Amino acid sequence: MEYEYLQLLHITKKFPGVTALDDVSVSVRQGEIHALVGENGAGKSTLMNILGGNLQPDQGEIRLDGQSVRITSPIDAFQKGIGFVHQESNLLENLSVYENVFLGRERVGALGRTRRREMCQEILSSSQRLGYALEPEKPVSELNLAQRQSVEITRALLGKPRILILDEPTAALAEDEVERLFKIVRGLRQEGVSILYISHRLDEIIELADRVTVLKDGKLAGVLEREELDKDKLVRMMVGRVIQDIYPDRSQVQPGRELLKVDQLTIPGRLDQVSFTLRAGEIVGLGGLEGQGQRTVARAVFGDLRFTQGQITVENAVLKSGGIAERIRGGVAYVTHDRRGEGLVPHQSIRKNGSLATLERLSNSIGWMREGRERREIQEHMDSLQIKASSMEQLASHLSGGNQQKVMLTRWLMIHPKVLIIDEPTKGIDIGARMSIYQIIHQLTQAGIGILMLTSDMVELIGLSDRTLIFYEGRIVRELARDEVTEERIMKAASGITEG
Amino acid sequence: MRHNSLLQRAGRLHSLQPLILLAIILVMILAQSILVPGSLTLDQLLIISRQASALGIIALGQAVVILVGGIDLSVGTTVMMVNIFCITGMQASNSRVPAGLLLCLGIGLMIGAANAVGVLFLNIAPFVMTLCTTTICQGICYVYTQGAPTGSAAPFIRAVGTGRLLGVPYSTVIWLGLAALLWAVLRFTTLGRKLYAVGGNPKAARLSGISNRKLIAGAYIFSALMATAAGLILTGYHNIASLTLEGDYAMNSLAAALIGGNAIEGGRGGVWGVVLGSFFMMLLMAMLTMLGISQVGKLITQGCIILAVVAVQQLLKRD
Repeated sequence: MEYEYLQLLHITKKFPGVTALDDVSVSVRQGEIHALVGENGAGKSTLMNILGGNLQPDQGEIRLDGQSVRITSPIDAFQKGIGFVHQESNLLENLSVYENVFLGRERVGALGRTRRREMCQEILSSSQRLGYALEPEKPVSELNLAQRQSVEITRALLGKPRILILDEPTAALAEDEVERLFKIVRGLRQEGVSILYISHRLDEIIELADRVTVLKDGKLAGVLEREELDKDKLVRMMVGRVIQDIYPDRSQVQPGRELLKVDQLTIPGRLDQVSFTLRAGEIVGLGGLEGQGQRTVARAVFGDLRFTQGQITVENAVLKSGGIAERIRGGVAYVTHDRRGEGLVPHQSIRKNGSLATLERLSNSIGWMREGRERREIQEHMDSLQIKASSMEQLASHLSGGNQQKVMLTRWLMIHPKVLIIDEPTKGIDIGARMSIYQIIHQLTQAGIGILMLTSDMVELIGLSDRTLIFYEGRIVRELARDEVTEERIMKAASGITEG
Repeated sequence: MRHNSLLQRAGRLHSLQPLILLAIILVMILAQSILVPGSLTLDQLLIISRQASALGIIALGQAVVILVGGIDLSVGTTVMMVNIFCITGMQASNSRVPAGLLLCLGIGLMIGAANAVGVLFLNIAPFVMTLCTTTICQGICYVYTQGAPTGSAAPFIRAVGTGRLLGVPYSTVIWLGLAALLWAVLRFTTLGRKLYAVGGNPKAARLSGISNRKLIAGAYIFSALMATAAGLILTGYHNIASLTLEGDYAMNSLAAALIGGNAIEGGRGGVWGVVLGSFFMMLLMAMLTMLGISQVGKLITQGCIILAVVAVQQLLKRD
């Protein structure tokens, strides 16, 4: 299996003012899982876009099976046996699974009639072979994220690819779904398919990859064999720092007075008698598999969901079932997990996005904006959060994920929150910006803010939480203090296994 | 960095759209003075501005509805209904003007509120809902007038529709005054910020504590009130009750807003582009009349020129 099926040799790609790839060589053996890591901007996507036919290299050579080739377009890549599963779902919601899989390459019979049964059969056999179940006739809109990804993989496999590129495949998956994906990937390796696996999550890579290529600032930082894989080494190669530095040291944290008390909160069918407290300066992590009630609790606390049973108290004031505006006035903030969908107003500036929740405070009694004051406050937050932008008038849609998240934090810090709920604090954010977000969260707790954190990243959950609450089927099944939390305990509790 | 500067340039070009339109208007005026020497006078432009004012005022309302992500097709019928009830309500007598105005205001409020209720509480698509109010109001007008409306406007309304302030038509003054007011609201107030946010990303606005429903309802009511004002001005100008007064205001106001650079998907756009857009539409009409083009030919030319203008804007926007 040492045969190097794909070779990218001395690839250089320049954009005006920036060298995205500088003499990078990567070779992938037949039937290996080859991971590609690096921070955002390290050149991963450029390299994948070259391989996928979206970009042409300025210099260098691509060899497939020993033959020098030019990949002129995505269709060309598909025909040359390169399958691409993109990070963001490219499925059409209104069509069914089989229609999506065969989009543009439908099996057609006489008179242009599509052969539905044949296509469905093909999907069934291909998915069974890899150990998952897809219902070919189900509309994509009814599928969850993991199932959608299976559809994407099935589609990529349709061309019988020799190389499959997976770009951040686990970004939106819960832990158990990740396991399933790994099984599929390993199954493909068995069949001799080479996998190029791009991910931010180093633990996954260490578990899965046969070899790892590390990119840093558009250059090749090194290639590690399976035996050499080690998280600290990877991080050092990517950013030049060690892993202990990623999470702030919170061993000395002394939580203060009680800020938030959730008592017997029940929403029929979604939450069952959830009770917990959050104190000043404390980070409480809500963990568990996806959709076990963590987000429901967060949304109820933020006033987005009505509840009839139970009580929520912020600083000894009982929250009535009023709306979001009332919660904001009471000092509760919620940084959403879906920045683009329900966080940012994309066509507006950093400034206007930042002040969206504080318009009343930043205006006089007739609603006239005090823009001087607004600018001053936004500038202060941009400085302290180190938002990298040409000015506060730059549009939110033009910022990187990390900076967008900092704009969201700006919006919520502007209300001077007591309780800050952060849902997936570092989703889609590279490791450099992640560390900076972690530092910010740490500093906020030192200023006396209580933080409720929801995350599907277990390392993050362990690294940041002072206390971890594990949800299972709408209940809190386990509370773990900082000194007793382990991945194993979290996984057990999250799967509903009780232990003594 | 390269990425940023490119995108920033594109962003700036978006706000350039009104300027492109202004340049096109200036070219048109220049062309007119060459094609028909001596025809270009300040007075001619003022007359066009008076003719444009009704469309202009309606387009301001339409622009706000578009801004929050909706569409209002009922503006034309609102104009017609206000026209008919203004004339029958006032009976050509100044003493009945206050009552007549209240009646018209009531009609406007009702139409706006009906649209808002349909869109927000019954979840009907704005296009369909406002089309329904249009049809219903048309029917009411036909039944009420039995197909043959009669009467003339009260002297006060006539004065508003035809009078001038220091040479400038009142209707132009009202139009530009309302535009300036709306501009100030959108540019400087919390209300303006909220309207842009609701149009730009309704979910984000809601999670920031903004009450989307109030704002969207307000937008439909504002649009109906603008159409009411336009209806009063037109009544004063034409001095008749007519079942054809609704004209093409729904479509033309949409066109004016879109030519002016406002995005149909909501969240983007300004006021001055819409003002220029309305003026452009009327100027085009006036010039085609002046060049002696028949009604049928006018429609064709009008369509082609609007198409050309929008195409030019899109081309310039691209890079």
